[in-house]
Amino acid sequence: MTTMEPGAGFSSLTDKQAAVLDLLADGRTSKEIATVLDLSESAVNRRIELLRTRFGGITRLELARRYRDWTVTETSPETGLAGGVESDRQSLPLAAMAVNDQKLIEDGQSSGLVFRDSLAISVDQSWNPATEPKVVPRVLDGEDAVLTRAAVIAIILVGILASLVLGLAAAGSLTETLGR
Amino acid sequence: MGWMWIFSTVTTLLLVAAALRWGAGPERICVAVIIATNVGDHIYHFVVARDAIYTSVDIGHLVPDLFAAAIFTGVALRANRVYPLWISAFQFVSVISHFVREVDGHMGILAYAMMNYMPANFILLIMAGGIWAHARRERRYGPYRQWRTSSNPLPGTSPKSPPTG
Repeated sequence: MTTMEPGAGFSSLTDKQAAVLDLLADGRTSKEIATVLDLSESAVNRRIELLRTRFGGITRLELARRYRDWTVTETSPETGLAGGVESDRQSLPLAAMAVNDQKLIEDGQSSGLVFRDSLAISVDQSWNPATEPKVVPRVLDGEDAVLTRAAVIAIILVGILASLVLGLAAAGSLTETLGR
Repeated sequence: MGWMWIFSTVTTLLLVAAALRWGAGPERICVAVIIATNVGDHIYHFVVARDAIYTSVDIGHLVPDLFAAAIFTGVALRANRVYPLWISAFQFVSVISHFVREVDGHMGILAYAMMNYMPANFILLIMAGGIWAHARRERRYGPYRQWRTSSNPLPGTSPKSPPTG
């Protein structure tokens, strides 16, 4: 009985043997393997027994464990596949693969990406009347209001003086009339 | 003229209280000028120890009137109000009365007294109306501009009609 190194010998597996070992390493029973591969259960057991003999009469569980270890080793990035051997079998390790480039892409202080409100939006409705009361007419408000206001003062002054003159004239007439 | 003096004094004091309570910058400046002219007039007559004269131009009245006219006109040109325009005009009536009296010696005493004295009473009434109107506006709209804008409003800032469609 030949005792082979752990992992050795798996590289010369046939496709049918590899298919059985894949399902065996997945924890399937002989009956389940037979159902998946459309084989008889006795055929599956024969293949498993042959492989157990090749690896020194190890148990089914040991055979499955060695095969799992061998597939992880063979498909890792460090070792890659065996030199010159192409395999259509791929076993993806569930453990996180080591990433050489640990640099993460994230926005930092040096990224220059700063969010700010670039536009102040007013929700005021322009068609609504202004809240400030309109105290003086438009003509009396603004750049030219000085001259306009001075003119208004002059007009009011003339009106007052005219009223005063008329009033005094009327009073004088009344005085003369009543005096007679 | 005692009752007229009492009326003028009481009204002035009431206006001072109203301006301090409800008035803004223009109201307080105008009331301050009224107080200053009244107090200055009393001080003047106390110093010269005589009542007002209307047979000739009274310098003691001319100077305060010119001072008041200058202040009232400045407020009238700058305030966001209408009544200071009337106050300024009435004050100019007082000022003109002095010059007319100086130019025309035949100006009647009554006319000179009316032109010189009566505008002050009208100014008190206009001031009362202005403070009342300001208080009413402020009660309705809240605080608003005391002084007029120094530039013309932009063409697009007038109220627009609401969007349709």
